[in-house]
Amino acid sequence: MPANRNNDDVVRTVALTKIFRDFWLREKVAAVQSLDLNIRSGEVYGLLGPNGSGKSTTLKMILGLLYPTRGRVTVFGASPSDVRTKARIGFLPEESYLYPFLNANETLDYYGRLFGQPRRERKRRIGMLLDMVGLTGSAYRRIGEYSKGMQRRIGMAQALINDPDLLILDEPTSGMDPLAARQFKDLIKELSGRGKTLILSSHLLADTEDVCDRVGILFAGELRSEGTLEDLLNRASLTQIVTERLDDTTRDAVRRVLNQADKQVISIESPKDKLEALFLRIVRQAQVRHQTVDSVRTGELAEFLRASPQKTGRMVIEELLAKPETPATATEKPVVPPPSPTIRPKPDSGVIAELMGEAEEAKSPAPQPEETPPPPKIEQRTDKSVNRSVIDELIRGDGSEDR
Amino acid sequence: MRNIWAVTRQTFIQCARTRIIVVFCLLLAICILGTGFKMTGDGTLKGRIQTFLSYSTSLTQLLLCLVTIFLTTSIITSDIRHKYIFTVASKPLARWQYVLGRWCGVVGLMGLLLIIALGSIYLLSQHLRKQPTRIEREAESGLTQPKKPDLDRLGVENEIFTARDTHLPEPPDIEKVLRKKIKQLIEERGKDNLIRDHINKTVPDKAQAEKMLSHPDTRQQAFDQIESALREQIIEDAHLVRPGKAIVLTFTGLKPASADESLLQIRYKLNPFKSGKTTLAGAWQVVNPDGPTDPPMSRSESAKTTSSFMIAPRFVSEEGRLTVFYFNLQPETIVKIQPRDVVVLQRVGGFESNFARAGLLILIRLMFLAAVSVLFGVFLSFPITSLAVMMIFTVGTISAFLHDATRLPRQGEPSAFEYFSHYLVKGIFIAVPTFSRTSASDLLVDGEYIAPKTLIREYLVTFQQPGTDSGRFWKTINLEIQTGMGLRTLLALAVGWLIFRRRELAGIS
Repeated sequence: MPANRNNDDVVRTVALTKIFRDFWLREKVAAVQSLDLNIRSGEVYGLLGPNGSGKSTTLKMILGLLYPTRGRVTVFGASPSDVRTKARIGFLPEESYLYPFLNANETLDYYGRLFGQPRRERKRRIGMLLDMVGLTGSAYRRIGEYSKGMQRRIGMAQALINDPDLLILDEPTSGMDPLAARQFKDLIKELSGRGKTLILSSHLLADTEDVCDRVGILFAGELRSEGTLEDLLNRASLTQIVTERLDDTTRDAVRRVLNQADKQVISIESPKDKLEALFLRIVRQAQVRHQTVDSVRTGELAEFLRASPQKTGRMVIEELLAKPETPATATEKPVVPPPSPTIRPKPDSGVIAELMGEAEEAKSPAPQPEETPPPPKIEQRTDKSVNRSVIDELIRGDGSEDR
Repeated sequence: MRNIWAVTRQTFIQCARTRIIVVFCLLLAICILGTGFKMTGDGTLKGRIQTFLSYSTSLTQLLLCLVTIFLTTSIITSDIRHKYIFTVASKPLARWQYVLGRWCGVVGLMGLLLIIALGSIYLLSQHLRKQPTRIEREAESGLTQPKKPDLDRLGVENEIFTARDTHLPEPPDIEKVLRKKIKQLIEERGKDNLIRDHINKTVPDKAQAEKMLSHPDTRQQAFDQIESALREQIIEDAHLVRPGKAIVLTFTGLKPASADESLLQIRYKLNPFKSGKTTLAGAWQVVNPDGPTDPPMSRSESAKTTSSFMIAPRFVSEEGRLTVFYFNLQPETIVKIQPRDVVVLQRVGGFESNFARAGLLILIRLMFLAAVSVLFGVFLSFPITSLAVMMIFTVGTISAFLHDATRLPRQGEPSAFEYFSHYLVKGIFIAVPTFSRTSASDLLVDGEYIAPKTLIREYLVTFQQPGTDSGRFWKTINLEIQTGMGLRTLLALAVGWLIFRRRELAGIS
């Protein structure tokens, strides 16, 4: 995964410090201490650390929900409290703090209004986002009645309503089952592929490893380590060779060759599948057996979040018609130029194919963005009632999801 | 503006979906229907309608005030407590827009509920208006012949379903009487003698008195004291009606009969002076300075109780003047009539427009309470905020009582506690409005006209001459500025925004 496409800092913190005080102004907790961060345009940055390490506090200072005790934070070169800055940010909090008395449609409508989006544009985006997160069928149910997973998905939808340049995700996969988490991660990858800058806070290392270009590890409010995953994870002193299964004779021969080269063999063993991959494969196979349709999978980007090459003629006309209604704040282009699709290819559809268990398709080369056809539909939907996401199918299949 | 509208709309939806609104609507419906159909007042139709209007509007106002306090406090504090504010504040929404939008949403919903409640009260009052009076019922059933006039019906039409302006009698020219009295005294006894007698009375030490008499400044001081004492006596005498004597009260600025044919009402309250008498016998005579005069009308009234009688418009002269005589028929008791104890009420407008203005008086109270709830809600928790706003509401409601209870005594030196309580209450009412100053309910029940200046006083600011109760500062600048609830509302919102702007919305997590 390419690290970054240019060196523009989207988020910059200089000696950022946050000390929480009690009622008598006595120092209570030093949540963040002298934190220097430079998050570049187009990268997926992971803030890692155990609970209480200062991840959420840092994000809240970046969002202007907390004020630094010392130091400085700028987002797109401006104060995080500036409403013009906020117009370019999408935020998914660690829990979906959404009004429980509103339904999904009303929730997105409210947040769309706060971005000054015209009614027509708002309706268009709401429809696409609900479809993207697989909540079209539950659009008129109160959010208070949603399961946690559904709340996370509507939370993600509200974070994307403004097509943000910077997306801040605090523990994005918390409370999600592995399949939903996988789909969320795919979505993050796709958004990253579309030039969005993402900041991800998590203590789930596997999640971070899957999607982040660069990570910073926080502990006790201090940045302990920072770098690209390749730099941090590469064990240069070791070499791993992956071959077809070897019989004992061949293994002995390999040992002998390596011993002659004065190299010590640390281990020879059959690789094991990751539990996540196993889980996903089983679920997919079950779906194929039940002839269900992945009709509202998450990860398929809403059209307005996609880059321009994918626009159809009709969409261009619609946009042109909609433009005069669009307020200046809503149409302001980001200072950070959108990345060229030739620099960073669209994440291949292999992930989706892998989820579907189509190994042959997964091996095929990823199409370039210019050539990307509209996402293929497995089956034409005729009945909206079966228009459910994989997650929905799973949840409703066993009814085990907590409410 | 779009953002404010978005938050307003959201607040409106949020409030409308809370259970408290459902409970409130049920309570309100019970109150309005209960008072409309179950309360009979003093048995007359006028009494029944007055009781209905009084209870229904008072209860509506009380319930709306309570709901405003709890709703506003609840939505602001729950946004912070449940962290909904994280999602909202990360959107391009300025803090002042949030504060204003929340306030507008609550006020909008309360305004709508007020319109529904007052609309129901209006319709029910019109229904009651069509009910027959006792005389009409008896006439319909053939028990008695219809009598004219039916005082109950006249009262309904001329005292309730109307808007009447209140006219006070012209104040007596105290200075003119004073000058005349002093001139008379000087002519009778000479100025030097007056001063000498006064100093000798007030200064027991002969040598000291002689010294004071020899000095022009002290002589002038003594003369001023004589003048002051005389003035006080004249003022007191102007409001006293001795046995067998009469007081003449002149009212000006009335509409002549040619301009308005509706009946006028004279409302009065008689107070026995230094006597415990409970019933006072007297006679009233109404005189048109240019025309007809009716013979005096004898009446026996309960002391210290407001009474009234209706008079025909023909007693008002073309210049809009009306003269009223009150004869004290008591053998011994002196009757005291304060400046506002006798008033003439004359129709100046319709009931409907007055009813709408009464609604505006209630609305400004709700606006103020919502603003104060926002102010406290942005930095305090729900229980503390609601308690604080409830305190303000209660203090504002009993403001008249608090002012009376802490007034400095006119005689003798006030104690330290009296000073403390007096200035404490004065200080409190710099910030807290006096709700009891204008009661929409009382005005409606009496069919009193709610003038635009009353609305301006409640919403904005008024400049007036300082009164006897005005503070020293106002008396010094000879002008009193009274800020209405509208200005206080704006001030509360501005302070709320300033606090919220600096408030950190997240804590340790």
